[in-house]
Amino acid sequence: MPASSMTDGAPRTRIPGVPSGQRRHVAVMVLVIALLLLGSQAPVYRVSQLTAVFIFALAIMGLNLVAGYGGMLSLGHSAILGVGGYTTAILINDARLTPLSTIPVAVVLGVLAGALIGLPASRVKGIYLALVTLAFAVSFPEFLKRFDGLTGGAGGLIVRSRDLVPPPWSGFTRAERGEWMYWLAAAALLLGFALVRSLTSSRRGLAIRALRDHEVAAVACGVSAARDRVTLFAISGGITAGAGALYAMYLGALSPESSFTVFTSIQLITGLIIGGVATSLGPVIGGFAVVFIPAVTTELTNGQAYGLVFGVILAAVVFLMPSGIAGWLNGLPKALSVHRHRGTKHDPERHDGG
Amino acid sequence: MKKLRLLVPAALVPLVLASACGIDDSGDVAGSVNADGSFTVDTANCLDPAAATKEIGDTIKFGWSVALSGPVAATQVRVNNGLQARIDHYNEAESDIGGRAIDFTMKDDAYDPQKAKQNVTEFIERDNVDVLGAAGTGQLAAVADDQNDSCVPLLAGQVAAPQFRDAQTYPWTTTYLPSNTLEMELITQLVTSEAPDAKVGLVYAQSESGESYRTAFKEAAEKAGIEIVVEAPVTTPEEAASQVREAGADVVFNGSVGPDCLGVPEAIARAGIEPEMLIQVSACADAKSIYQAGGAATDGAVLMSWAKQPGSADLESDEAWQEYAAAVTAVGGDPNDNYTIMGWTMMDIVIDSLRTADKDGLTRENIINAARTQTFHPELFLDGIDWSMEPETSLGIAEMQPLRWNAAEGRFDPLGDVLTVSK
Repeated sequence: MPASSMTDGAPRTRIPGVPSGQRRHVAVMVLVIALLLLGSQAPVYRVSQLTAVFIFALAIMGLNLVAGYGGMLSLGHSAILGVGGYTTAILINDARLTPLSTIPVAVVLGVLAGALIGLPASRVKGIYLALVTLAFAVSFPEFLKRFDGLTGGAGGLIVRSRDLVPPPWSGFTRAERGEWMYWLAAAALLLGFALVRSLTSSRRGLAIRALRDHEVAAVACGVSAARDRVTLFAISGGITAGAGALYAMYLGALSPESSFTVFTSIQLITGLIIGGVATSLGPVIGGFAVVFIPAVTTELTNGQAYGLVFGVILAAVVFLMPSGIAGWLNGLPKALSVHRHRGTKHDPERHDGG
Repeated sequence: MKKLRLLVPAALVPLVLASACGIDDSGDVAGSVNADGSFTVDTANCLDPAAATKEIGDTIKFGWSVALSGPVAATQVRVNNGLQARIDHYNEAESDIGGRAIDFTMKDDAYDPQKAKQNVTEFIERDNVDVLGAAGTGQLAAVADDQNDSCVPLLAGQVAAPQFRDAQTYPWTTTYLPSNTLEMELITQLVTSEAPDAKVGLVYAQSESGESYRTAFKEAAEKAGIEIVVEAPVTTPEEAASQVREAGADVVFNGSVGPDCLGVPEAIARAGIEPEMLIQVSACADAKSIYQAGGAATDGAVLMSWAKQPGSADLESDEAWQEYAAAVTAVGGDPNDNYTIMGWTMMDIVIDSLRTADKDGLTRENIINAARTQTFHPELFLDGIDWSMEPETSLGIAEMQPLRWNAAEGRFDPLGDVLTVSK
């Protein structure tokens, strides 16, 4: 991860022709691949957990676009995640398509769903927008129950594991489905990361952040608030629906009452806050938080401890690291530099030249 | 944005091209029913066939994924008390499966399918458990394929959904709760005999279980020629009761669970309706929190049961009940809790299938073969009702006793004979 990528709050200065940036990119890619290879060697149950982390990180990455970079709190992303999940499940079960070929369809429908949920963003903001998007999250499970012929209704949908076997060209066997899902989810996360980086560092990305920070000034400069916000929701929807498709392939079972409820939206938002709003690494850290905090607390003690630990961590992050763990990490070099600078100023020996 | 425009198609097009073909639908053969009615599971499809046929050592490892936190934990913990108490009783007083001890672990899934999948993956891959358990349709759906591919038996799953009874699709899975289809058929048998010209008001919850009860009841009523005069969703119990009154129903079937087990009878009483029969589903069996609390509103309410009910006078001299009560009390549970009784009987059935399997050598393969053809009378089942598994139907519970709540005595009384599902 380049250090500059973690300071997304401010426009970056591009210095063309400096080869150190390229070397840094290569080093980061090598590090990421090494970490992924290391993860793939973990015990099967850990690989499964890491797969869940990647999927949730991708979903949070979609949410981060609108809630972080766009400054628009969406509580409707559980519905978009569900659109992706149900699209994949229905296409596998009814159209007998291979899992991979359902992902583009899920992404396209996610884009449409995102645009639909984002339409109100051109008119309302803040808490009012959150409430409008909440309506989508609340109504989505009811919608699934209503169209039971397609969605399995209240009983949900099951995708059989034999329909989720890795494609022959992947080199993975049926027994290695967990490993296949790990690499597929990792690839999707990296693709999502590249997409978000590409968007946020583009002119459109600057416009979106300008709308978030100074809407009047941005509009005065010719930025179309309605168009850019709906577009942002649409792209965010595509990413989150992609995560939904992977979720269906990973879990193989979807239910309107447990898979994509308002609680799922809250889970995504919580992950984003813990990870770091409007940061590149935040969604990945959020994915780890959403998956591993319950897993670790379950191992330590059974029962209601999970909710308590999650709440304490959330409160601690909000108080101690208001910009999330990634935001805190971003600020660390600057804080250390200031600290070092102060130390230098107040160190009489150094003043004397040692 | 140029890069962005190129990136998306560049990623998606290969995906489509690489996997444009449809799914190969050639299925696996999961097991076969032998001439003598026994079942032989096919271990050739297991991810690790040798593990399925290997004799289990001195300790039998059980791994149960259940809700210990979250909205349903309050109820599930009462079931868990029964499960734990039965295991403790086996380890302390029986140990008759080749002298082996049972190591029983419960992991919290908070009624979340994703967490259930994590739990079961850990149970299989890290803990190497020999027998699995799960509660909830969504949770079982999320783990059943992995568990079947790994050939680890999942016994007496706390689920009523019928799809998991298919021995060809899920050969390594058995479920405990009677299917809604079966229960509704027995309820319509009762209505036909007790109120032949009934006009039934069907009250149902707008939930997964409520819709399932509604569908099953309508199908059974149609077969039995019973007239349903109204289908009233429980938007609120009062609204449902109002619809029942307006339709002039003289028999009310309440197909809702949870708080509406009590809420609907109370609303019906408040609406001034005095039905000839008020029928509750078996999931609404908790005497203390529903019927004693309901007072006059629940007096005469009818439900189907297969297990002994707390409060019966003959339980004081029932040795099996005394053993059960002592074991449950030792784990801090309430012996008079219907959910705890259910947990105990579920584990009783699991332990019996292991005893049967041990006769041919205790392996995972023999455990599931035994469980799929098990006939057993759990001591907390009502007289005349057995646990009976056949590979074709995998019903387990095929008979039920209608019970009527006697508010004055504070207990359930039998209503007629044990009813049996038609073959």
